[in-house]
Amino acid sequence: MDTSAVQRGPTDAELVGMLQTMIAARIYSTRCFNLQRQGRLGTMAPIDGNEATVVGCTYALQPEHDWIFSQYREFYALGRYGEEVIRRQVLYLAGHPEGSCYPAGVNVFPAQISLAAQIPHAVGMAWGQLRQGLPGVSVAFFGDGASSEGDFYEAANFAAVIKAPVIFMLINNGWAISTPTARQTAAATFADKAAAFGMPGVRVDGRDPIAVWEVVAAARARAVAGEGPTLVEAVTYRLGHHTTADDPTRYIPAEDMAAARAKDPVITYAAQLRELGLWDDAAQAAAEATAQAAIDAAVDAALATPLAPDAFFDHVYAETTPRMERQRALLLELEGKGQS
Amino acid sequence: MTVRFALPDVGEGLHEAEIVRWLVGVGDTVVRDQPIVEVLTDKAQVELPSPAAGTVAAVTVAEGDIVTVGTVIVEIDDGSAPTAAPTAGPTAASTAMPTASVPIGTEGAAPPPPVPTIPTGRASGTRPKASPSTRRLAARLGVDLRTLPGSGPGGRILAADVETAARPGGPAAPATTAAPAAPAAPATTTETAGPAPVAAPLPQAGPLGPVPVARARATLGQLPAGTHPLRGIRRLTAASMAQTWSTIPHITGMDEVDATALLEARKRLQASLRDSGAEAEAAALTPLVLLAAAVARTLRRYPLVNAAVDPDGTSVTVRERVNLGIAVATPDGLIVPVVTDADRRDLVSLALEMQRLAGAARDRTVSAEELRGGTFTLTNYGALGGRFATPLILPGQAGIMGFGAIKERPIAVDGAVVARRTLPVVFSADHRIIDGDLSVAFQETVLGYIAEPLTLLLGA
Repeated sequence: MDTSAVQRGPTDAELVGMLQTMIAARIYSTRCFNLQRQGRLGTMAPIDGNEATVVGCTYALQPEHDWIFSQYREFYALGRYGEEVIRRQVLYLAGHPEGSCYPAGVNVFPAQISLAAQIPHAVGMAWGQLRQGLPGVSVAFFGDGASSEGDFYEAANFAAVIKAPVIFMLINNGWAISTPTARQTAAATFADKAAAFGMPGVRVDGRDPIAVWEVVAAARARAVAGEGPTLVEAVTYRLGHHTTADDPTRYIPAEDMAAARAKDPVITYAAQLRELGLWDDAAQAAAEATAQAAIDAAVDAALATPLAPDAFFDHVYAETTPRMERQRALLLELEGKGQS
Repeated sequence: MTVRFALPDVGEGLHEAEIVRWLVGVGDTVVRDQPIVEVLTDKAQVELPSPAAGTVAAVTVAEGDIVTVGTVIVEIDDGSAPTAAPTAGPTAASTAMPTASVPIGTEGAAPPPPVPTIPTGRASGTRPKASPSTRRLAARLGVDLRTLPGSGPGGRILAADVETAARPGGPAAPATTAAPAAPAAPATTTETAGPAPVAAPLPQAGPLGPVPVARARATLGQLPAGTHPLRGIRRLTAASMAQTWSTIPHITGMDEVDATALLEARKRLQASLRDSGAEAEAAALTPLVLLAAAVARTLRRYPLVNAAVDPDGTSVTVRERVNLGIAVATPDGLIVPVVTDADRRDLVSLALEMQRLAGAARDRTVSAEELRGGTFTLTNYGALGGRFATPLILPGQAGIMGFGAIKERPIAVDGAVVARRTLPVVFSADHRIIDGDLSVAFQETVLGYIAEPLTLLLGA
């Protein structure tokens, strides 16, 4: 392969770091999936297939300055933003509101479940960064399905007009739950939509973290230079469930899934680093063991944290309203009767 | 210690799931997160991974069982001292996780994927291919999918295959074999929308009409000692009956009436139909048809009986239409098709509709629509030979009337004891809205029509 591009881009340590983070993402997600199936965590969306896009993107960012606005799937792959992310994610899945409270210094917004609603948030943050002269950018992760929402069009249009330092990371993984991309848009590509907003649209192989790194690094440079937002369409394939409440075997043809699995980014990227002499069996084993220990610790801590069902009242307003206090009292009363 | 693994809610708001296949057995060694069982939910078939590493100590539910969320389905001995809390807590110490490790990327070859996501490598030959809805249908109809050839793509079993199999004489009829179906509508109580009966009748010719012989008497009540899951219609019946028994305060009145005039009227009506060549109509005109006409007219006179207490118990809804549910015995239990607007039909229309629905219920062509909307139910338990009974009201209704066996019995007529063919009539009512006065008035009105069938001509 042509290593010149790689040498211009991430360092060797970053190349290895990306693979370690991708492996960790798969292990974290798999463990959480299994815990959901064992009744110990709530509904979750597996990362399988999206690792390279998220990891390649975040390694091109500067976590101390750049903000992440994610939907529900990406958190397992945000290792670049620190181990606190997976700890919060497991807390979140275990039902703790604290799972959505990232400590100062971790520039990650909580998971957005409403489709596309995080995109205007990212633009709003980027606008603030612009007005305050801060050095960072904001990144919105969203899917091919979310790109059909009005929030995307409004936010992208506004961002382009004000030249907000934002990167729209559209992860096209082939499926919006059970809707294939062919039924999602009549456009030739999702990246084409950028033309309507007057911003660059770039289509990149979302299974190649190095390619994603390069595209995002360029988009970040543009944004920081005051040239405005970029729409990145990262093309990959969802290697499994939309969420734990879904059965993809009912709509994804088995042969399509088999073909996608043969290009599993976690496997192909590891093979690539082996060719470069940056990876071996020992590194693989160490990466797996490290990730396994991290997720086990996060799970132990989350499951050992007492659940307080009324805690969510604490996070709606700065001061709870009398009405909410009445609701809290009712909830606690019902809980006392074993009816909650 | 023993880790007890309870069926989790693997969907969103799931209440139960069917155990499709155990992937491990008692004594097997398992590692944490190893798939141990396949379950079928409303949404999907999923594999459940083991919550702990250890040895399978007990499998507490069987394949085919439908299990409520929260039920312990397997016990795993994790080999630790029995001091730890007996929950399915995380076992961080168990690091062995061969099936769930991340793929080792070497030559890009696809190694086994992580445990969860898409189940691959499943032994497809061991499990019949069918959609969850087809599986549910099969469970309801008591059809064993493993015995069925599928007519769909790739041998997939379709709903039509299950329905065919469920018919008597089908390729894989239910275990409770149907005897030759005879026309008529007998039986006990049951449900409204879905199948959900009470008890199956015995094979006997009933006095009100021939009884479809649902189950040979010798097969009734036959089960070996032990615990058996309730399946299909029986499970629905159990739920329906428990609901009505626990929510409706029943009162049941019992009486007996001289049926001589009714039987005579039926005979003359049949003769009249035959004279005009209406042989089929004559055959359909069972005594139960006349009784249904009598009840329908009586419901029109007392609207509060054609009603239901609303679920929160604070209001009553009086129905506009009179739709009579008629319990029909089938090989798998009772089904209650509904004769709509029974009060507005003439006797021939009523007879033909009752006959059609009874046939449809027995050969499984009755539609879900034809099982819905009943406002009152009739049960011809006398087809079984009994005299009095205390039938249970179906959820969503306020009353059920049952008819015992017509037999010669001694009664007093004008001061003398004579032998007459009498019909026992019982009426169960929802005491929340129906007191003894209304209950008796309703029942005596029906008895009046039976004693003097000509008054049916007067309408309500």
